[in-house]
Amino acid sequence: MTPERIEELMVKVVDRVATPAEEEELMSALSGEPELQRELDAHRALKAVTDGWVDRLEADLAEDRHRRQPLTRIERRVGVSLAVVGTAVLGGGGLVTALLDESAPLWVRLGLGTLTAAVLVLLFAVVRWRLSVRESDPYTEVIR
Amino acid sequence: MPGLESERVVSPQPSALDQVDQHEAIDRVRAAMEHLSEEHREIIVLRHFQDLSYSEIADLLGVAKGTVMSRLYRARRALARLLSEEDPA
Repeated sequence: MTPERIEELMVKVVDRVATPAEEEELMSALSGEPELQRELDAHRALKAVTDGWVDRLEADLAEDRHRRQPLTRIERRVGVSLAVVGTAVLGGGGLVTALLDESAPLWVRLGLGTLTAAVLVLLFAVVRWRLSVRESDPYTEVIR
Repeated sequence: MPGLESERVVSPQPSALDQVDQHEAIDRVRAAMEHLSEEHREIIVLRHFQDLSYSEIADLLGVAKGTVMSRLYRARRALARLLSEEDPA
């Protein structure tokens, strides 16, 4: 078999477009040729890497398209908003009830009061930080 | 090709370790491609990344189909050698 034929068959086998007869032809030509066999393995490994690369890019693009769909964005915003409101109602109502409950031990009321103050301070810090970096945020293109 | 042969680069459900391996392999291939000749890099991109057939590449480059396959073989060999030189282990 000529070197040109081996090259052609190797390319086709690596690209998985060879017929079974062509694959058989190459395998019989490579038997007893460990150097060429190693070369075939190397080309296959290379193809596997680039296939994985392309698959990943396509998966990323599909994910990005899904995230950019209006329905997806609306779902996410509605879900987050409802979760925030629910948490605020439950947490706030529970805290107020416990704080006003004179039968509750003093240490419980003090603890809850301190926790409430901590949450408010942290919320204020986050809002202040978001406002201060608003103009210089390099990730404005990122869909959160 | 040492270094790439042992890496599990394609898996239906890759583990985190597989993904790290795959990212590293991709980075290495990307870096090695920078050292290919323009002709070899072009043929790798057309076949591996744009998934063009041999006939389409031949039409695009204005060469015979046999030349496309020969060039692709040599480009792969050059790339594989670059990768094995980089990681002789």
